[in-house]
Amino acid sequence: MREEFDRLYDTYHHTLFQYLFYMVRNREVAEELVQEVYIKVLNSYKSFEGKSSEKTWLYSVAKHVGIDYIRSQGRKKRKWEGKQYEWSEREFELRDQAPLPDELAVRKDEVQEVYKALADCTEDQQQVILLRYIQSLSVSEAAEVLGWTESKVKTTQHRALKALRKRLEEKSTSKLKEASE
Amino acid sequence: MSKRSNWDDGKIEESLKQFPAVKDNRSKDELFQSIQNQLDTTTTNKRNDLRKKKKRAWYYPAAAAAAAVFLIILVLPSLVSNEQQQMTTENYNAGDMAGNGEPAGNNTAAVMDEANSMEESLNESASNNNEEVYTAENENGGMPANNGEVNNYAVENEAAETNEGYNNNNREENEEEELPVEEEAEQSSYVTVPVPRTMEVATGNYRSGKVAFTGVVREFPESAGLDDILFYSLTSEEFNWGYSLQGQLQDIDLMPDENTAVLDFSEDHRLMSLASEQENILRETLREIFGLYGFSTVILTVNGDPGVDFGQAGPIEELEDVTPVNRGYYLYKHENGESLFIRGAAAGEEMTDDSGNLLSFEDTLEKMKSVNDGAWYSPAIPEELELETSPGDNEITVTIENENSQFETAAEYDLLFESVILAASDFNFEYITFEGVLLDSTESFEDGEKIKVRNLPLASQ
Repeated sequence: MREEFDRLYDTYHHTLFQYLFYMVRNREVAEELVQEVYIKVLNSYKSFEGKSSEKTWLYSVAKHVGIDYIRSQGRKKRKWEGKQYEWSEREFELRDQAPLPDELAVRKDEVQEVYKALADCTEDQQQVILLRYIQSLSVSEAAEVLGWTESKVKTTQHRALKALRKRLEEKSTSKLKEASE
Repeated sequence: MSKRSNWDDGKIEESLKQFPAVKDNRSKDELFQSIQNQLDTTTTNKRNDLRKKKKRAWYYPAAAAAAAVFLIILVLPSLVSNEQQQMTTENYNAGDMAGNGEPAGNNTAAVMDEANSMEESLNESASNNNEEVYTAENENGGMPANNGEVNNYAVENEAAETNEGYNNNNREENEEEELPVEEEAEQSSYVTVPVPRTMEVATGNYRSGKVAFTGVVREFPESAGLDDILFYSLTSEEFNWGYSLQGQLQDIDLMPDENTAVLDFSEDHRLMSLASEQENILRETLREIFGLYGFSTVILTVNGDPGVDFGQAGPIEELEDVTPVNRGYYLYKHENGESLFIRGAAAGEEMTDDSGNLLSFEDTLEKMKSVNDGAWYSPAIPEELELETSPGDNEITVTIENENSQFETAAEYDLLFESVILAASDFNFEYITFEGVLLDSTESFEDGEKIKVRNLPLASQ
């Protein structure tokens, strides 16, 4: 098992960690989740049929682990507050309160704005943005990870950019209004 | 429609790519140790769970049985109550109809009449609007779109009503997504809308539907993009091109970087019941209109999910054979007297040389002098005309060497020049200049005048 772990770690660890980090927006949680990914992968490595590439298979496992975590957090929050939320609403409320990660705090304002606005996109849109732009996966790789057709990846990517632009424009406008008041 | 801000797709994509790399601070050994510990704990927990499950084997069936009894008790009274309510409603309806002495159908007719009168008033206002815009069209002489972009000709917005034709047909989501940020009058522009023109032509032993495009100038808000204009073109009631996508097509998304257009249809679209002729016309229209603007992929979705039931073809996700690459234009004389330009790609004319390379501009003009045997269209350039081309950086000069043509009217000469301008649009030339003897025969173009190249074939009467 150690041998298998070493190989996977050397090849994929940092990209997988980064993917999970941007999905859950919390370093500690990403650390826990990446561990869970390894456990799932090492347990089922023998059953990996090689129908997809190893890389997209790992991303696919990481995606499920990340999304399961986010949804479980949503259920917990609903219980605490005794309210019925749509999944997407609650997820972004949770995230908005999270402080900006250190790595991002030193980046340009635009990058920070986009990071914040990304939280307002739907789950599907966020996945496509993370895979295509931050993880630099090709359309076909992203389609494999998400279990979608390439067409759906392209469509969702376009809609995600549109949603981001809308959100960023709204934020710019409200900032201008605040400044003028 | 919202104003353009400084956030565009390019800037957003650039920012996304600048997201910092985030690294796990733990070492490989630390991580492995944690995984090992977690695996051990998981194994122990599994064993404990198994034990618990064995102990509580009786609990779940018993709880489920109790819940089932409780549910039956809850459901029975509500079933009885629904039945009673349904009977009461039926009695009420019967009594109501009897009381009026007329069937419910008359009420429906009244509503229909009201809807018709509203529709009439809308048509009236639209036709008034058209008259105004046609005047603009004549004044502007047909404004072209160029290389996949829309040429906007800004004018002061005279009144919000002038945009009625566009707004009436605009997407529902615009109300939500594109509310103006500030409540100030937005400037409008005159742009050329490509209008599909369908014709039935004899190809070999049978007749088939073909599509060409003409352009009409319409007024749009200045912020309207190519997607808005194409949406208007495909859904507006004002254009009768053999099929209407109004109420079915709900959005067009363009991804110029990937040469991809996404057409999103509503769930209640009627494309599955397309007759074969309609299916052919619609397919040709979509292929041509998006090919014309440089798109090679046309994706069809229903509420964002790929795949549309497209007539007899069944579910399709992507339209095949969309060809943005083109060489040359040919002429088709419509039965109503119009001369329409047909793209070489749509006509199936040769677009490559013997080595398989795309034709040069000079070779394209030469090719436009002849057509395939038995073609339903004709050459755009007379065989006997000698043309010489001298390309510059982003422009080209076409010199016409002799005048042995059989042209009799100025309109025939104009068609010749128009076809050369269109052919140049496939070569990234921004301007074209004509020189030579034929320029005396036309009033539309002057010797040595720099003409902006356009890629929208316009009709000529």
